[in-house]
Amino acid sequence: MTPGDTKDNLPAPIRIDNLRSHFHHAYGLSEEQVEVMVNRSAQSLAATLGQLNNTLAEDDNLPALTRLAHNLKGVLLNLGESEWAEFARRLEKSAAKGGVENHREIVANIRWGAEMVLGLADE
Amino acid sequence: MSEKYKILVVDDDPAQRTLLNMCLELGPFNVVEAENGSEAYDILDREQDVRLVITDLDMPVMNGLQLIRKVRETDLRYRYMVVLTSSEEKESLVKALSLGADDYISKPVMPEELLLRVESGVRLLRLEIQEELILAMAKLAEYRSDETGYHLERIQHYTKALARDLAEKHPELGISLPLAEEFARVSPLHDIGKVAIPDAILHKPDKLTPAEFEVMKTHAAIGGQLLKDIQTKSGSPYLKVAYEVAMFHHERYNGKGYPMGLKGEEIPVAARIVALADVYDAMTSERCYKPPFSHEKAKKLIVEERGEHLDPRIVDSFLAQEDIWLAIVDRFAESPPAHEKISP
Repeated sequence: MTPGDTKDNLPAPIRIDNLRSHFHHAYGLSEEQVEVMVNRSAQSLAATLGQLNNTLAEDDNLPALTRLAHNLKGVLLNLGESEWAEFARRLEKSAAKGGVENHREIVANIRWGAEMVLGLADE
Repeated sequence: MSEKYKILVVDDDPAQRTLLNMCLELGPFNVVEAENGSEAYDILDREQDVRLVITDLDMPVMNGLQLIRKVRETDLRYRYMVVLTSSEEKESLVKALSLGADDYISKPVMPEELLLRVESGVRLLRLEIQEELILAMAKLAEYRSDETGYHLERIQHYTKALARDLAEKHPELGISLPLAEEFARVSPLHDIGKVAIPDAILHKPDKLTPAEFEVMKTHAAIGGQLLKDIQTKSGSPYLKVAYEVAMFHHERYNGKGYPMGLKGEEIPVAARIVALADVYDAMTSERCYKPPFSHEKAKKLIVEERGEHLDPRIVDSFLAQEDIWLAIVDRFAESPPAHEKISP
């Protein structure tokens, strides 16, 4: 995946029913626990993506960008979304090396992929 | 496992903490949460019964590496620390392990793996509790005998000084520095079998009759067997060395000791080391039947036993470290230091 990808080339957006299924099957959580985890994860995603946007506004703060991308990767892996986690990993690597990849576009893509989940955080 | 263990989960992501909490509560754990190293350290300082910690590395305020370092520098009781890491964090993981982390779990965490790794920590902490109980038994044995005061502490320090020196000078003995520490830790157990010796013999102020001496000699085999039984049940390698020390510390290098009459290299090296430490301490300590010998007199007798009672290399190690030994004598003196007393 390179900057300029069309949405068609991106992984499928994260679906809430997939998250429920993931938490139930991978972690053996009860229905009630699954709901707690889906909501907490939505809040974590929203918070981390929000902080990433703020950090992107500061041109030179690559250490913060690296740390937040690392956190985002962790949240996405816990959700079982390894393809999206790969985007966060690429952002983390690029920021750590002081790279010139289009960080804003990667974050925008992840935000697009997480839109349905982020909707939960707004509720 | 019926009892619940408190475990501290440290991560700045609330979702990760909640997920770990839910997974751990499938096992025998009560979870306490902290969102950074500083908050975690405050909890550990306040709640000494939290002995298990799972920590993320990358956190604001105080990160996981700083937390591990601080805990290891200041802990009074051992805490089992597991690091949460991702596959890209190899460098940080090595650093965490070198700072004293015990294990790691890769993210995303799988519940079965998480529980298995944490239960390893529980097993280790249980072994530590067993060791503490056994050392308490050694203290009880010491209270019953006339070897009061700092006998066990001196034996530990003498053993450590000898074992560390031998580790450096005699690689053929196979003593690593961690093993030297282990010899020192188990050395207080050498006379644990004395708990089984009747008071009339143990506290007899006069010389023992041959029959009484035979009873007294059984303490080595009794202590050895006791520790071997516990070691068989627990599988603790620590107790294997303890067994060797208790069972064989009265063997003599020339084969004239007891209980087995082992000779030279047949005697486990830990027992050969503790033998010298014990002989020296017995000679330089006051007993109901004798005053303490001076250091010089004890040294002379030890040199005479070089290659007879005692392993020559261990005697040489003793002679090479006299200043260290005298410092130990001074530090753990019962009354005036032994080397300042003049024996008849």
